[in-house]
Amino acid sequence: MFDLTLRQRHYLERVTTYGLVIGMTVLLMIPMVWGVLSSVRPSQELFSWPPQLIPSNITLDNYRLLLETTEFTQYFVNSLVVAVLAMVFTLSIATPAAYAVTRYEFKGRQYVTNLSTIIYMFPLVLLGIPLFVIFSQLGLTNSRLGLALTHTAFALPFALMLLRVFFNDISPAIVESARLVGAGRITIIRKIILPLSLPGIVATVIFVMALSWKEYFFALLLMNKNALSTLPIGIASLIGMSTTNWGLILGGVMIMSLPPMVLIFFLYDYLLEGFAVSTL
Amino acid sequence: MAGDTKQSTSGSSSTNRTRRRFLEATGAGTVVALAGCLGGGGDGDGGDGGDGGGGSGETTGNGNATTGSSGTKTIRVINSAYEPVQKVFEEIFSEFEEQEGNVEVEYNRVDFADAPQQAAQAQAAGEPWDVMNLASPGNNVTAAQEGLLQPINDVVDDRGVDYWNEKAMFKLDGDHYFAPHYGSVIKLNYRVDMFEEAGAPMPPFDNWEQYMTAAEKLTNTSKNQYGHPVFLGSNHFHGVWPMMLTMMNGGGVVNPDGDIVFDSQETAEALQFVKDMDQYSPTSAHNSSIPDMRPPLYQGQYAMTWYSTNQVAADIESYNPDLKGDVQVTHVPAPKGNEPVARMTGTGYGVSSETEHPKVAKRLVKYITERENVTRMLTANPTAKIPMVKGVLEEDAMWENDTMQEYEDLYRDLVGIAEDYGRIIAVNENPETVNPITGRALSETMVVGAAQDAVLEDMDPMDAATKWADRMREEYK
Amino acid sequence: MSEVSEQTSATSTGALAQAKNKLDNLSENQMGLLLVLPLAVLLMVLYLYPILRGFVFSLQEVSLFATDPVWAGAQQYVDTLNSDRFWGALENGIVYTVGSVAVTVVVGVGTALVLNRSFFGERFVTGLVLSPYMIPIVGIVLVFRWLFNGLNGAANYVFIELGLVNQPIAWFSSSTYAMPMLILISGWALYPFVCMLVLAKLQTIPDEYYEAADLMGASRTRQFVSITLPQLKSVLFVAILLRMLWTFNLFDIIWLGTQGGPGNATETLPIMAYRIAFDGLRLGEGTAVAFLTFVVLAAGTTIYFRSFGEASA
Repeated sequence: MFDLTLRQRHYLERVTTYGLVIGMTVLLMIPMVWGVLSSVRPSQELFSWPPQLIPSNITLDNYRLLLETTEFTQYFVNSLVVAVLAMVFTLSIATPAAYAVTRYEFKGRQYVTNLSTIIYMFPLVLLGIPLFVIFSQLGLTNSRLGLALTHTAFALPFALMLLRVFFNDISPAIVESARLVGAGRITIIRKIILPLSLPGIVATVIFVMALSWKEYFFALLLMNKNALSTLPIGIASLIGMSTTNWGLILGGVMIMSLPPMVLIFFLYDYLLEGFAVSTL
Repeated sequence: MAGDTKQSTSGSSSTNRTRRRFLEATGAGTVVALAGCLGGGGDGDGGDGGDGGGGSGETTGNGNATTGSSGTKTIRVINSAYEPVQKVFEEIFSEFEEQEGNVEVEYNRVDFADAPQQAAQAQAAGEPWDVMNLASPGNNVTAAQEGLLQPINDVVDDRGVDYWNEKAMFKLDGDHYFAPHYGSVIKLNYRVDMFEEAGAPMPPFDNWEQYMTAAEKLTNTSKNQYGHPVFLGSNHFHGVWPMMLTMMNGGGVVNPDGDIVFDSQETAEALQFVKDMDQYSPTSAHNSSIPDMRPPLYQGQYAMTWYSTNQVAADIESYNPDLKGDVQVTHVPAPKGNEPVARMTGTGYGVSSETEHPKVAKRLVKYITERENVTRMLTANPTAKIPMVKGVLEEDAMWENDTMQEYEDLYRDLVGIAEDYGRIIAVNENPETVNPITGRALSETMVVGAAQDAVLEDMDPMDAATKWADRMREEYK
Repeated sequence: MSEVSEQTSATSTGALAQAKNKLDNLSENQMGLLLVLPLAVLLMVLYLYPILRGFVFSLQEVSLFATDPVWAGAQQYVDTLNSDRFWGALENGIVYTVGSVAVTVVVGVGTALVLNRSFFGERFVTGLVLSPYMIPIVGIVLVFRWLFNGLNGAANYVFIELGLVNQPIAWFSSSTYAMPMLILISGWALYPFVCMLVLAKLQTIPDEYYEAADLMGASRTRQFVSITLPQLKSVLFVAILLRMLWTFNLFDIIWLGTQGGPGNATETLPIMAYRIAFDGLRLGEGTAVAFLTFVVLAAGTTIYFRSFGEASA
């Protein structure tokens, strides 16, 4: 085995890689494929026995109905606005905080990160009523800005923890050598810390977007007006309507999964940026 | 190997990209934020109504949030109407606004299950919904008992109690709290074609033996076909069927004096019947979701199923259009030819005890329950709901709709079931006085708990009844 | 730390410079606090009142509509701790959390390692593999409920055809299979969380480490164990901690999947709290269960930090 030539080893590695990739993708995408299939077939076929794995005919009716008869586009816009706001807020609050926690010594430093995770120890569902009261008094109800703030508040402890991991793992030696060469604090941040932690920052951005995008609890709590509903609420409200059109609901779900995937697609390079410290 | 992974990257262009990216993000974000703030996503005014009498004291009264500067009165309405009917409500509210002149109706439709929480949090924040229909009788009654609603005897007396279906009108502690518009009744749907093919006794059933024989004849596990599913999900809707069976057998949850009487021989017999029927049910029914109770009927996997809102027309359309005429309704039978009980919903609309505009709110409730308006609601979603207002079936407008005409017989059967056997809150012997305990949704959850124990845990029915009766006593002391 | 002295030594004596000096001297302790302030403020403003108010609810016998609360003190806590239902729910919660976290970590790390390789179509495949996390839970549960429907689900059909089982299994209604099914669904919906974190961290491991190891003739496995894994420790610490907290408190997947059924077989603490408060309309009691959940998680987290805390330094 170990005596294979370089070329043979390379070939073996390629085969293994593609094997793994294909196997992994096929296995993991089964539910997804089923979901898409179910959204393009006529609803009569959804509950038949024996189940028909291949749809008898593909129809885009469900998608058409979705866009024409429901407020889907409005929900989409709402979700988008909230998600972008949440991303911006979270990054702008969590990044300096993570920087402070890793680079500065200050009182209570070791408690900030850990204490902020206390939020996660409650089943928030049960705090719905007092949460509503305080949001109401702060004027955050029925406002996309308000919802974005709640998403931010929920994402902050997580963003803090994550960014901290990435900031921490930048070896002090590099920072030290940069300082020795006369680099100011800002330069160090720009040229060393940010690039090195970029994958972490990008991961945080993607996560916040995903969290906000599919968030259900706060969106339900804060938004009374149907016109302000976000996608998860909008789609859930389609269930239990008199003609429960499951295909339509699934179509909505499928469309809903696209924007985060698009975001990943575009941020892919930044996610995999890696170790670029050559600019000094 | 190292070259095959993504560790190594390019050099200086990375920082430029980083900077650009952040600028883009911030810039875009700001623009969107502005757009978001301007485009209809404006900050909701928290609004503090005054400290209400029975309120939780959350609010600090800060003046009248619901009367605008020009004297417009805002009435907030909440219900769980299905989609086609929502539009009718919106029209009705517009008309009301026009009629009144200085009134604005804020209408919010919430999911059935979320209604109590929505009402609770609005109350706690000092912005209660002025006119509410919390969908299930249990929730509505509890809301009334907890002081969320005020009596509307004047609304009822104004038209006379006879305006409405008697079964729907009840008093809590001597007062009327609700004015209903429409409702639904628990019925058994069955496949006529499958019954004929199997030679099973045709509904209506006179007793439980016939009921069970039919289920038996229609069960054929090799064809994945089951005669009658037994639903045992942990929600109060699934408690409805065992509750009805118990009451029809002479048992009950509570007696007119308010004592829990669930642990009786009659209850045990009913639970035994549930257990026996389980042999004709697939295991998957035990934790079926509520919408899932219906589709298998149209696919031939259930020969019978029970449900409340009548979705037959819509379901045939979605699942199997060839079945027109093959699905009919009947009532859930009584054990020995005695009087059946069909649980009904249709409590209707109540007025908040803390509303700032009680007169307007009551006028709105009257308008909602106008006969023509109820007719409009019913025809928007044909055959789904039955009227709780008398005389609606005689309105011509009801029958102009194609679906209504096609399913006229089925619909009249349905209304007949409600008129003959319907009971709101599936109560005790005295429909005019609601028993506050059976009225609670919680009691239906307890009944399903007893059924679950009897079937899933193979508990002796009497033991199950006793266990849950004790639980009820603890809960309701 | 050394930044302070550097700044002071580099400034001139002008007034503006002195102000700037003060601002820089302000640093360390105060600078740190300043940067952390927005985060702390936002969290406290939004969460402090609800937690306190919720705590008060838990000490009262009060209905969902929050009228006429009756003081109950710690009675509701005592009653809950004495009930079998609580301990059953706790056990279910632990089983569910451990199972779900195990699946997500294993699948997440595995997929990250594969995605870390370069291959044709890597962007697209990465997007696909990470996509389950982006789909709303309601959609995921819906698809799984259909696939594994006991009556007409495709999975049963396939299993029967393949001869794996004789009869359709009622996945969601059987006390044996319901919990594993929920773990499966959670695993599928949540593995991208771990995958993405690990993938991001993998990018920061310098190539030179692997190259050096190659030169020394170390095998792939050896490299993985000695280079990759230790580097992943810090990120795995965070990932597992968060997944544990979020999964234990997870409500939607279980609620939409089985509502805690059949019976109470898949009822975890949040589900139990929800049913008591919102189905049973008993807010005080439900909130007490929620606070007990908090206690359980706080204890668990402390143990976690004690055992693995070095990884987070």
